[in-house]
Amino acid sequence: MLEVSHLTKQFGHLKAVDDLSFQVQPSRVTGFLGPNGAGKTTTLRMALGLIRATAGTVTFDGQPYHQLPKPMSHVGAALEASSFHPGRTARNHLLFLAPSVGASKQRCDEVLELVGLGAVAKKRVKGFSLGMRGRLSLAATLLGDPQFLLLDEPTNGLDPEGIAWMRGLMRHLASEGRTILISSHLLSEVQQTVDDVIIIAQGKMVHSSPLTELDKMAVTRSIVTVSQPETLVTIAGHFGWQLQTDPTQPDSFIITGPSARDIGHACFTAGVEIYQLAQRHEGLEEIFLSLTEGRGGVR
Amino acid sequence: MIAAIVAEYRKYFSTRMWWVMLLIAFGYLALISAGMAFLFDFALDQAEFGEIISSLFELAPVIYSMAASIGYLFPLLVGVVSVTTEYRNQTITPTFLAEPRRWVVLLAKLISSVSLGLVYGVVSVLGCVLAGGGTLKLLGYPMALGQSETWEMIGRSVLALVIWTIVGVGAGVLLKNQIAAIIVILAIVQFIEPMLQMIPAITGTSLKFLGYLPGAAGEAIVGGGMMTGMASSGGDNIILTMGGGISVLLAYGLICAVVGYFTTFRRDVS
Repeated sequence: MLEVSHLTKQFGHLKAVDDLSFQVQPSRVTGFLGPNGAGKTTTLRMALGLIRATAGTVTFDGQPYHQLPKPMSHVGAALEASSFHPGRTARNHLLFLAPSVGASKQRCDEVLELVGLGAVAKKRVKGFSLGMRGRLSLAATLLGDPQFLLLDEPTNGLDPEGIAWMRGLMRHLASEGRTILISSHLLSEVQQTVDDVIIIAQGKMVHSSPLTELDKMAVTRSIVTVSQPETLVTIAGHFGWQLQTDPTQPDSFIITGPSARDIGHACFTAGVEIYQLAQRHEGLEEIFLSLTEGRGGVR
Repeated sequence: MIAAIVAEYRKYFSTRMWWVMLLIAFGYLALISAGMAFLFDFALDQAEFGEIISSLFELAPVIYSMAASIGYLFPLLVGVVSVTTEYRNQTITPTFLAEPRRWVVLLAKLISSVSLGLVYGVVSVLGCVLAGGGTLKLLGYPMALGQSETWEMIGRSVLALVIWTIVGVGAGVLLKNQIAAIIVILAIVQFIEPMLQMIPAITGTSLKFLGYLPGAAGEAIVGGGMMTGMASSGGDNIILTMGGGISVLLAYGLICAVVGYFTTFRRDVS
């Protein structure tokens, strides 16, 4: 299990990560979500010892990264920045990592085949597309056959076919009992891959649950147009509904909370004539956005 | 530790840098040493007969030592770049992921640079012996390859070049930024130090500390060269002993590495 505990990083006056705690379970793919600048990459880099935490710890089955013997054989990490020497071949990139991982040359060729780079193994990285570099990053993470995988925006630069392939691979790796954490700034990117979601904004935890429970966070919104707007305001005040005027239509309101049925009934009882009443259920992406945007205004 | 050293070797030898720079070093030193052989020959033609006899046994080793006194720039730069290229291309991230104990990475870089320096040392001397020595032979002087003092000089030159590589690694760790590192290094060894070494010749004063500057320390390992020659022309001979040169030059490399470790190498990588 990957455990993040009270993790904090202070950059000058800015708290990039603020008392963040969560757990990532094995045999599942967990999405680590948040808008750009939420602190996802900083969290991952702290987990890997690249950035020193101001406070808090990250442990892999109880051990911090730098205390793991041959860490890359326990934890595979692909970070967003493409970290390759342009003049080095794909195979040579893996070969320089191999001694510290304890991987053989054969294993290097094996993972290159696995990520679909077998044909360009002896080509220099200089000519690689963003997608190919992503695949090479992934090959490096798999080199040590690790139990934990931390992938920062792994679908970046991949074509739809590549994204589908990546999904299949992640599902397969999780089914083997590995612990997988995938970061993304878009829920829709990973929605079909992840079992659990951890959502952060401004360095703080916003939400953490199985993906299926995220759906329950959906808020019902209805748009309604009536003959007597003043009466509707009174009704809303009575029931404690959240009422917003629709700037494009003067007699229309957006009501958050009650179902269209409740609104219709209240209007009928009050003798208000309804011209339009439509209910909308939020999608996952909207829930994600409202969660992160809501938090964005806090500070 | 061994894994980290093997990793460093694989990094060195999997890009073009090492052999391109090696080829340049070889070609440059071959050209310069052959040119110097002609120049010495021309100068000796003007001199007294007795002086020619006395210099017959010294000419070849002096030509061979140019590998160190002039060619030091190549292993120095290769040492610098072996570190700064990791920051430039962000391979420092996978490097630290593979080995999170950064002092192990630093030690592996320093240790592995010794063999890189050996390769540069041997090839640089080879350039001087083949082209410089060959030219001497053509002009009728002995190549002196049978003499132990020639081999001593060759050995000292290789040693000096190995230490210059270590200095390069240390400077790279300290400065981190590739362009800045190269500019600063070149400015120090090619401009600032030569200027300082000229002071005694101009003012006629003797300045002991000049012998402790990196270029002068490097020359001390091979027994002399341009910098120490200039500086000593002011009066006293400021050149260090061979052992002194080794210690001082090595100290530059190691101090840079240690200071660099605590200031830049341990910093956050993002």
